[in-house]
Amino acid sequence: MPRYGMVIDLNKCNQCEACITACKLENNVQIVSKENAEMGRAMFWMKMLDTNYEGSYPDVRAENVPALCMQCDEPSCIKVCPVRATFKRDDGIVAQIYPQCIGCRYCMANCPYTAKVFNWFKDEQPVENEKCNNIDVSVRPKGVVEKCTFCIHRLQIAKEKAKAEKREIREEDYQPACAEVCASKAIYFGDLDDPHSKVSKAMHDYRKFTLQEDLGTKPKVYYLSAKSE
Amino acid sequence: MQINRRDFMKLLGGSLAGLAVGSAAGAIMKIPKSMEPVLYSGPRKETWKMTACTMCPGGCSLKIRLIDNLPIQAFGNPLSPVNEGGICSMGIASVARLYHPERLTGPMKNINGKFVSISYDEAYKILKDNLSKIINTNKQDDIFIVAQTESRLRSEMFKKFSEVTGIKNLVIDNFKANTSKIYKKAAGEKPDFIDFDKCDYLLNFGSQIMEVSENPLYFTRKIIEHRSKGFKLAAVQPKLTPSISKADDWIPVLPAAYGDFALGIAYVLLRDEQYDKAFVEKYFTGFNDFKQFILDNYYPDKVQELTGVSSDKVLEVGRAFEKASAPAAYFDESLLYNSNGTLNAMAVIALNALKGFQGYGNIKENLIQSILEKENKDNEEISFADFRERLAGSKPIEALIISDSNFVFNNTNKEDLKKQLSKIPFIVSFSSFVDETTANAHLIIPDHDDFEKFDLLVDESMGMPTATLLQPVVDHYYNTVDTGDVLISLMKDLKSSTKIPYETYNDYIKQIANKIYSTHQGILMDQNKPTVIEKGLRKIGWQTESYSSFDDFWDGIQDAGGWWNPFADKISYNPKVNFDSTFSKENLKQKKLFASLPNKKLRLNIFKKNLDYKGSMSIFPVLVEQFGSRWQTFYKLWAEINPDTAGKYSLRERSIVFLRTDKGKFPVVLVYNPSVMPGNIDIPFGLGHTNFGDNCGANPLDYSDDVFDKASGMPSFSETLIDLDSASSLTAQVMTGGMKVTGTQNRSIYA
Repeated sequence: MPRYGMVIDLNKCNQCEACITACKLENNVQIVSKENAEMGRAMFWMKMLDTNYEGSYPDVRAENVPALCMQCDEPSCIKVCPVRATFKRDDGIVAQIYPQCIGCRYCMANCPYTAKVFNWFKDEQPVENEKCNNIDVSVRPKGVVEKCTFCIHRLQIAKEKAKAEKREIREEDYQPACAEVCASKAIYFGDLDDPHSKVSKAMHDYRKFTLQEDLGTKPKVYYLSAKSE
Repeated sequence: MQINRRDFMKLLGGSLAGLAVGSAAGAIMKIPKSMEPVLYSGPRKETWKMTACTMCPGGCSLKIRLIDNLPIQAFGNPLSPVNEGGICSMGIASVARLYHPERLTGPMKNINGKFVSISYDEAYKILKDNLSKIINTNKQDDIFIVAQTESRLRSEMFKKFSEVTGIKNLVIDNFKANTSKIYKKAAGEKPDFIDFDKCDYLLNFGSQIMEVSENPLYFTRKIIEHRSKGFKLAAVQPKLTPSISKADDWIPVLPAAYGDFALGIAYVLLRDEQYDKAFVEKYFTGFNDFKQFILDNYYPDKVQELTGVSSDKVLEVGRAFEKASAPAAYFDESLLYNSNGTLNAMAVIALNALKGFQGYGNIKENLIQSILEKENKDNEEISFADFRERLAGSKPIEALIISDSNFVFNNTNKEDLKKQLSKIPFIVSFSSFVDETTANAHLIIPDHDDFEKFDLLVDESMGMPTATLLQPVVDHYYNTVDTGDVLISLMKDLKSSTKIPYETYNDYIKQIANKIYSTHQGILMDQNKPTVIEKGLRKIGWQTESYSSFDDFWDGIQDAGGWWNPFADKISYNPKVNFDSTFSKENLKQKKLFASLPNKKLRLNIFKKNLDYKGSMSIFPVLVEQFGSRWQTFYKLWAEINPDTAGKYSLRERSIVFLRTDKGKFPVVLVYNPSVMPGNIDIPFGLGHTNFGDNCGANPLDYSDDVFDKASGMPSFSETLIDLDSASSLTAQVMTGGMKVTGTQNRSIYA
């Protein structure tokens, strides 16, 4: 059984934010109204963390980190879900059963990475975006918590394709939207346990770190620091 | 949020259904109405089509996903050498433009300030009659064309139209061509490409090279790839943009003082005698005068005074530039957004000349160039400055043709422009939206969407000729017409004596494709990059073509998305340079550079983000929402300020303040950013549309002084002062652009 994970090389990431747009449109994440955005209800499954500045002008360096659900091996969100709407699959992906979610938002509160968002809305996409919704992904109902799924629908499609062709699933068959569009090839994705996969090779880079390692959540999204080169 | 019992029961019912994550359309899920036919009636047939992106000058190849022939998603073409599967936010969002509710569905006529739908035949007759009336009296000089396009072939079509009809007043706003004009003046021709295989030091002047540049995705890959091989990127720019944060060295220079810094580097090279003597002797006309002028006027202390960069740093960068084996000083259109933009660009060219343009290269036997030169010989166009001058002058303009240029939004003198446009008796626009410029038109004949038409995006900025095909992904939804077809019809009707060798714009594109085919060079974008061995075999005559006729080639290019020639040979770029009297005290006397700021004044420094290109973002809701998301500011304008500067004026982070210029005041959310130059207020460009798309925020250009680069006509983005009077009231109640502020903790600096 593969164990899916991601490595983001901050040395390569040029903060173009294409991953954010791709994630938003791939997963039909709602584009909220001005009023709701004003109330802090904008929804992003992937986002840029606040820029970290080091030094003082003019010797300033800025570090920007794209962040998504860390798909923890010890996810703190599932421990508090009263209805088991969030759970960890055998392949390591922390999944969400939307119809089961009662919108209590305990998981949001317990996620140290603020990776989850609450859907306050009935479907209200702008018409031009609604027409190009991705039909592989259901639009979540109002009142549930949402988050990055590593584009799990793509895994399903890749599995079906591989099965039809009577072969094993290949690394390039299953890539989340963010990794696919990344122009600087900063995002590696695949089976962390496969020693031949690009992601597992990248994971062994000495620059590797994870966010808030001390919490023991064991994230499967790794970063390669930009500082060492 | 409130969830009522009904909602709860619905959810509970759903949970019993046990639908797992990721499943496609579940019965209890809310499915958008527009998708229902696809989900429940359509066969859900997935197809893919290749096309290209024209949202910026890069010309990436796109792979469009269609479900039941409806385009729904855009991805990068992995076999395109331009983007290698990558794609930017604008490209990803581009599909939504097809379905935009404000998109014009057919020709419109302005009747007493209201646009009324008319037929294409009627619209064409109005256009033809108006133009022929003027042309038949030989008053072509009273007609202007302003076209914004990133397609060189479309530019060529406008040039052809200009040549055939005798309308010489043609302004083409094309990112690459705008800098070519300056190179043309100083060096005869622009270098084809930065030779990353040779270049070991790139000194970038003002370009957001990885975000909005001539080929942002390619540059991104190359810069990242070559950094591990010792390549260094140094960036000269007032703002630490994402591109600059990837640089090895950032040199924050005062806005508009790029040229002074370039000449400061030239001083170091000249004083150390580390310039390319063989090159300058052979190719640099007036070198001795130039040398003397620089040695007299651009010593490091003086440069420090002019640019705000310490003299030590000037020496350090100068030495790095002189030690590099193949350095390149680079600029693009962004450098022109200053009153002395063209001068700054000339200074960068001069700096390159001192090192013999070693970091640049040309393509031997440039196929694209030779095709285009054969197509059109008399193709000189005028600059936007000429158009601006004529608009403001006493000689009237009788007719104006606008294609995709929203120059009213992209300029600082919006109100003046609107008044001047109102005096023109006939304006036709080919825009797909009633934008701020098109709103002044008398007639609109909307162009097809990019996904509904043909074009060929030719380029050589990667050191090899590439031609990426833009092709219809769908039949055009509405009663729109390809602007190229309108131009061809007009050429035939207005000048029937001239033979036009193509019936439609598609024919023209096919003819160019045929010329590419007939060279039997290069490969389609349907295979991986050739290896060194393959390249070697090619050189000794081995050749395998996947097509045996032009029809095969045409089918192949449609399937693959484009053609390129990875086997093209490179040659060095050795132009003859002549700067005439460009570098004289008279020309280079200090303008409004604000090296020292007047009391209580700050500099307004407008910057571009990669989500917007020439004010086109507002029609993409996903981009508008994302625009300020990094700062947690949604649908409103923000201003970045150095915390030290903010401290001087007691301005808290995230407070809403009004910034006042001579033209008025506008609200912004104040964001601390330690990388902002002290004394600057950095504000993004892209919001503040009033006519179309999302109307949130403000356009900082509306509040900027009317300062332009005289040669190119580009507006200055950084030569306006902002007043910061001390606040007389600490209570602000602002209701602008969705901002609500109450309470004493939020400070408005204006009562």
